[in-house]
Amino acid sequence: MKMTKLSLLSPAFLVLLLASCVTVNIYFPAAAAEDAARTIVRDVMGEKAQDTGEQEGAAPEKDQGQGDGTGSGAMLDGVPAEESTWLAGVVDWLFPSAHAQTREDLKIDTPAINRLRSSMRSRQDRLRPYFRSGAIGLTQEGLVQIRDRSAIPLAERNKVRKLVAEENEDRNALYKEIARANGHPEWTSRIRAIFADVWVEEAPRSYWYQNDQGQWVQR
Amino acid sequence: MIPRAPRLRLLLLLLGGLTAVSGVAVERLGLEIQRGSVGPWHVDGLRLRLAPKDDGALGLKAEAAVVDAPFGTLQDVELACPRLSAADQRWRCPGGDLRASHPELGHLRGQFELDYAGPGRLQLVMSEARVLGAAGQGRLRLSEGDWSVELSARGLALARLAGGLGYGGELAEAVSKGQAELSLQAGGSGVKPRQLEVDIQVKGLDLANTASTRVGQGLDLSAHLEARRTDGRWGFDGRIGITAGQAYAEPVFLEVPSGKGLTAEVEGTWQPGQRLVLERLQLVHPDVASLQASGELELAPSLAVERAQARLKGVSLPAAYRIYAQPFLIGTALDELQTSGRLKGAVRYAGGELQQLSVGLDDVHAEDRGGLFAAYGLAGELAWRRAGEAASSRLRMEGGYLYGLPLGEAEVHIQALGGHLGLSQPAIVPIFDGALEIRSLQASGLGSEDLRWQFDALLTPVSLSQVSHTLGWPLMSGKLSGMIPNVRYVDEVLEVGGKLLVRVFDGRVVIADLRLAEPLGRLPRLTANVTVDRLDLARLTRTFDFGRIQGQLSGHVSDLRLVAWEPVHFDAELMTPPDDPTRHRISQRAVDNLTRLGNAGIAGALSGTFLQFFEQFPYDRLGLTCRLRQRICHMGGVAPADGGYYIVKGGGIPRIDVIGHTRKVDWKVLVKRLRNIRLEGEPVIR
Repeated sequence: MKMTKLSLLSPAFLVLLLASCVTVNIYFPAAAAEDAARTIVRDVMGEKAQDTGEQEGAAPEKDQGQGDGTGSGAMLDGVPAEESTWLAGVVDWLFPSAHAQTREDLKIDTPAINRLRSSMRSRQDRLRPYFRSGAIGLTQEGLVQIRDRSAIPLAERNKVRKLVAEENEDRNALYKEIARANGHPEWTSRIRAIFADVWVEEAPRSYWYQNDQGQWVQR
Repeated sequence: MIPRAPRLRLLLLLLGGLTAVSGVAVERLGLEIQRGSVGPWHVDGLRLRLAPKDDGALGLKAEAAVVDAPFGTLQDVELACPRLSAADQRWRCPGGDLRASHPELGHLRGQFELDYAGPGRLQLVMSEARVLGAAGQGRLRLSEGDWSVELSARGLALARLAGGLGYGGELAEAVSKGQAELSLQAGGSGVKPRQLEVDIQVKGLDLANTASTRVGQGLDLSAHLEARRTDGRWGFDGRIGITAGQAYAEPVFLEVPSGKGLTAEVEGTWQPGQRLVLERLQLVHPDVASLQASGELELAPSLAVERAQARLKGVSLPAAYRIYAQPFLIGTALDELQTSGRLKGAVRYAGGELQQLSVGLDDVHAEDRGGLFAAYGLAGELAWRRAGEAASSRLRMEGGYLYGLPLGEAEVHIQALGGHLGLSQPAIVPIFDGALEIRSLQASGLGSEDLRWQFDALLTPVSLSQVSHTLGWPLMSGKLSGMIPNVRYVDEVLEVGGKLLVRVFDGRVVIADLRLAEPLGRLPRLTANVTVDRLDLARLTRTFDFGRIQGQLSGHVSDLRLVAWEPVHFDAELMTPPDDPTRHRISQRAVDNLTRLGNAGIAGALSGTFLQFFEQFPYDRLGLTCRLRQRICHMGGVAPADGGYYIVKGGGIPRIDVIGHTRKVDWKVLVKRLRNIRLEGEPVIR
């Protein structure tokens, strides 16, 4: 025992411990990931449509400015690319005080992610009635699951199964793509976990979700 | 409800004793038993009353508070035999009446006639029996050890019946509605039945299991079963038809249209606890498919299919796809097909494994609603065998498309054995004026987790003009061709081992290290290295309506990565090669377009107005580089210039230099401009 204790306290170990702590804490930008998740979830769920409308509007506007022929608008001279991204703007707008933290933000403005978002957004209207009836719910894995088949008329069941399968394909691809777009494919599971919480937090009342014990509860 | 022999005998002995002393003037006789039991029957509070009638008959009344019978507990049992008579060892009870109540089945009542002619010889006829709102009748005959039973009932409320019969578990919870009409006829000797005939008609049946994975709603069924036992083996012949309603057995949903009921017929033998042989099983779904099967199941020591074979006939699309295939394909690339045509199939199963499989196609069309692929006029067969000689089959296709590229008529010859499948001879798939010659195609690990595809192909020259026209690209001239050796598809990743050569604009574009991950998934990811060798700029610029440039263009696009067909990363360098032997000229319009692309200013001693007089300018070199990272194109040119980089380095008179100053350009904007170039009018140089 004594030996173990000694070795545990050895300076090399402390350095290692410190280093690993630092790595873990700084490596994954949890706050930024949560902001990103919230932005996407609100956009997809269609809640606070105004917010998303403004966010969406921002990008095309920039394009038009840049298409004026002189080209000055298109250029990003002297501005770090990261700052010009759409996310930074959104995050600033949503959480002005969080500015400094989100400098090392999570990129979510890529064509692939935008594509997934719009695919999920356009599916939301078709999923909503089944969320409301309790036929489907939000899982701990940040996915959608059929939880009460009897709430779905027989003739619609395969339609719902397909909707759920497609939604989950999009969601899985989204978590993977956010991790990959930020150069850290290994973040996928942490991003998924954050999304799982945010989906539930942002879900309207009456939606069902799985709690930490895996039981279905209603918001 | 039928008393067993021992109890009956006891009762009759008692009655016999009483009549023997009836010469004595007895007006009434009563007997009370607090508690008694005969075999599995227990009786509480039995009261018997006998009253002789004038004509020598006896009136019998029996009441019991509780009768515990094997089929449940009866309460308030009242049995009346108004005219019990005995003659020549024969007891009769015409016009008998029985009433009782059952906790689940409610009030039971019925009339009966009993004729007892000594041990083992009995006839009991029940009529006007009422239970659960159903009217029924029955007849029991015992004769010298043989027995027969006939029962019929109308208006049986199934939900209450299922609950009342004390199955308690699944069935009772499952049935919530429905009425049945039943007739049953059985016979046997001793305790064993010898033959059975059942006829059931069910109307408006609603049932569902707890998880709601198996549900029926408003089902109308009719079933008929005949069975006969010989030498401990039952031979059976049954038929069940569903004539109306909806049924869901995850994931298949059936809706029975009126007049087009589903039927199942079965014939076979059953050795209880040992073996079930299905000599003929026929399922018919009108206008959709029919299945004929036979098989042998071992029931002990565990349930196992020994052998089975089945033939699917008249499978007609799209109904069969919609009902039986699509629900299983949800989440795959095949879950949104538009189909037509007919299929048939056969399977053979033995020794615990699938042995043989074949599918016949007749004028089958399948088209992805998403527009990803289509195959028209498929005809022929696909066959597979587990062992022995490889199964050969042949499949023809009239046409189709893949990613928008039309495919011509083709025929493939396939051999399949065990985990392997391959082409037995090369296949040629025409694409416009060229063709994809598939020299070999192999799949291994069929039916396992480790499925691998590999193929070698040759693309014979295809006119780019047609490809570009079809795909909606700018019209290009040239030919697309290449060796496509060693293409592998493993774990949703398609890798091309060789290089794809595109002959275009009098030069060559070589695509190497091509890799496509999740080609049918949400976000297909493509990576490749592209080299460009001496494209003729004159032809290129004419095609893209860019403004005229003469010269050659070489370079590369390295480490190209596309996600969902959008570039997210590459290192591109495209410029006139140093040893370019061709004449270098650039038109005013091309200069203007290049200027816009690079946000360059025009450097040079000459003013814009003066330059307007020149149609074209000589140049030394031109080129652009772009490193795409995080949606930003980091740009460069052929050489560094004061405060920027040369996009066009002038040479000769009049001299013109195009110098780029901006190093970072938003990729989206750049693409937008490239697209706009073709639409703009004649530019003006300021």
